[in-house]
Amino acid sequence: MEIFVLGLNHKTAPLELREKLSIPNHKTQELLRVLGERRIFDERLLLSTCNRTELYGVDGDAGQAVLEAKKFLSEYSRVDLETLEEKLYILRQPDSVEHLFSVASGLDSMVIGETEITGQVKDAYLEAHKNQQTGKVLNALFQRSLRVAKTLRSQTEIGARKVSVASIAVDLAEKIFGNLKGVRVMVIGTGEVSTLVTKTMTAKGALPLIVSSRHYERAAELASRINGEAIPYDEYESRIEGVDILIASTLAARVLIHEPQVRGWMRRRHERPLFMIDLAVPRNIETAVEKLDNVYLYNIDDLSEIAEKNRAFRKSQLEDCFRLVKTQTRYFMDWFLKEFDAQCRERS
Amino acid sequence: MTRFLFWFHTGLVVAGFAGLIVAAGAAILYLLQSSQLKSRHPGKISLELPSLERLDRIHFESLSLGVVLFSLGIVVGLLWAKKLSRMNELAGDPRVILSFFTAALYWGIWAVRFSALRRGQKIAAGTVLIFILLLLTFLSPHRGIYFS
Repeated sequence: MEIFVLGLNHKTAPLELREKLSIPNHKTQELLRVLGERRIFDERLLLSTCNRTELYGVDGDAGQAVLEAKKFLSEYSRVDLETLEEKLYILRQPDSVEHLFSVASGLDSMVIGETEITGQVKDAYLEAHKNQQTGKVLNALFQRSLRVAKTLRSQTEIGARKVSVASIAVDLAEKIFGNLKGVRVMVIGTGEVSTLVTKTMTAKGALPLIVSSRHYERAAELASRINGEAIPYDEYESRIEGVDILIASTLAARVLIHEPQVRGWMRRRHERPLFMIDLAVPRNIETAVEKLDNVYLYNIDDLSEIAEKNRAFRKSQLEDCFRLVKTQTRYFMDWFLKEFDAQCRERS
Repeated sequence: MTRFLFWFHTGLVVAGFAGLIVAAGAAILYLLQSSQLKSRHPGKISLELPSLERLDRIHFESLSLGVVLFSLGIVVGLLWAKKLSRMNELAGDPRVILSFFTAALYWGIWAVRFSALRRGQKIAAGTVLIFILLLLTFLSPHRGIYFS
């Protein structure tokens, strides 16, 4: 009895190939059924995310099962077997176990330490389990992988620091206001990054006010999508008193918000902290405002720099993480070999 | 009665002082967090510290409690001195004079913060400075009134 994984990911295959092998959620059930009908592996599970497609399997007859699985993937992706084999990795235990633990913990992701993958692994497992494609081994393996992911998060700092501009902006806002529930966010401009930041803040309970000078309809449409309010550009100053976070992201080629203006706002706001995020290039907010008390100004470079630093920090955690993964792999293999000792001995 | 007033006075001053220590601590942490966030490169310290909003709340609540208890302590101290008919001796006592002055400053900063005229870094810095004065008050020469 052996545990295998066949697959490709962002490290081994280009996007064009990953696209061909990608499995949409609604197709998983059908593909698992076909795999079952063809008796490819005794237990089987498909994991497909934007950066990887993997087939996990358990079988006694290693060579035949892997060959059948490769043919199946080639057939599904319509990529000839030879080309596919060049990019495909095939791992057997304990490497396959270690690989899954790394994947589930986000150590193998493009953004190291991301948490979305843990949910995707869980969903893939639940789908296979629901369709009765998993058995004792894959049940134990995938449940353990989710626990390993949790252990890694609690015992290392792999997920402690955010790496996307939007989540860093939210973190900073939380360091100023504590909780974003009820915090007023005013967004001047409807750029892509500012929309993403606003959405992330709205998800945390912030109340958005969208200001647009040129495309009021776009602002109104965005506001309705995120349960906010759209206001015309010439009205924004009259609403500034109630605002806690101001995001500027217009295409204007000049500074729109000047230091004396913000000084006046701060007086009217009784010096309540004001978090200003300038996502525009060229910048929309005069840098001199950062000297004002209780004004916290960040531009796109500042946020990107923090993201880069945090990425480096996550990388520095990798050694500890892999050590933990190796230990957990050893524990799992001890259990697996003990449990299936008789079958293993029979095979050998 | 005089003994009771003495211990009541001491208890109130100590409790008030404790509140003002917490307020000064929160103010220092506020200034630290604020400077981290202003630097645009917040480090590990910033991650460990609570949010500015929380520090401001702790600061204001402990300042309010500290100021009230400390001031009540002073009033009870005056009653105690009056009971002992030693009010005249207090007039020239540096520690007593400084205590009045410090309490007045504390009330001033509390009123500014309470009325929301100012908040944030300047109020936090003010609290720290007045706390230093409070420490000097306790270290200043004291003639003392003793039980006869």
